[in-house]
Amino acid sequence: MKKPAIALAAAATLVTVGVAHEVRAGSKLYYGASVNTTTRVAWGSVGTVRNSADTREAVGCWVDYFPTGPSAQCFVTTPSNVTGSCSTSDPEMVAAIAALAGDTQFRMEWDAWNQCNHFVLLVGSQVEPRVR
Amino acid sequence: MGPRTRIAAVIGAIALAAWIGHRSARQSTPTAPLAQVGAHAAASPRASAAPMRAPARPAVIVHTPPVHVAAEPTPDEPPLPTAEQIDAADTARAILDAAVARGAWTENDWAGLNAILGVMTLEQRDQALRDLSGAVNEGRMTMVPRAVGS
Repeated sequence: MKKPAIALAAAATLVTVGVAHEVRAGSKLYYGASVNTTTRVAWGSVGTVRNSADTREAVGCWVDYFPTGPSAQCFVTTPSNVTGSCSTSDPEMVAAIAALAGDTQFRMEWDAWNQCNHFVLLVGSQVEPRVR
Repeated sequence: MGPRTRIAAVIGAIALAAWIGHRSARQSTPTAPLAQVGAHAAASPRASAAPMRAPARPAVIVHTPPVHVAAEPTPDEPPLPTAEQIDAADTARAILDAAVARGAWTENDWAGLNAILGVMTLEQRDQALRDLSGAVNEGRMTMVPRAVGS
């Protein structure tokens, strides 16, 4: 009867740990890089992609400020090396893109001229942070 | 019908014709628009009794398109690119064409583009970046993320 008791204690410990972990858990989203060049949409979470084991997966944006005006370009590259990219020189959209932070999920859409026409930034506790 | 009765009937007919003629003449008189009638009536208690006068006819204003006499751009129009800006846009195009030919946009390509982005007009820069995105979206080349350290 000793072995079942040990097993029971171990199971109880696991359940306790599991419950304790569950109590501390909040809503979590894991969005790796995703691109659809047919529908011209791409998204990804900066933290999730950064933490990915895949070395090709990447998401990001860059913003250029010049006296002639600002411009921005964003890209999402999947593990299968498909990249979606768009750019904009719309000052308000550039300002939104410039707010892209480390722990952010974003979604972008573009038109037939590869110009960004919709950009969504999601900042929240459910977004995976970068850990390394 | 006696002579008196006949004379009375003729006078009555003449009076009726005169009254009808006067009434139709008043109705054919041009009147002011309703809003002006209302405003006038409100402003003057005598307005309903006074004959309404047609307002002065507004002068006809003919709008003709402005004659373009100056070739210089207005403040709203972007200035024409300079020779240096045209060269920069050509260089950006050449960098992209070379990258597409080899199927990859490299860090060196970013370095080349970084050096001329500020020279180009906003329109040229916008076009260069959209062309770059287009080449990537169409799968004509891969692209490494931009590096700004070089």
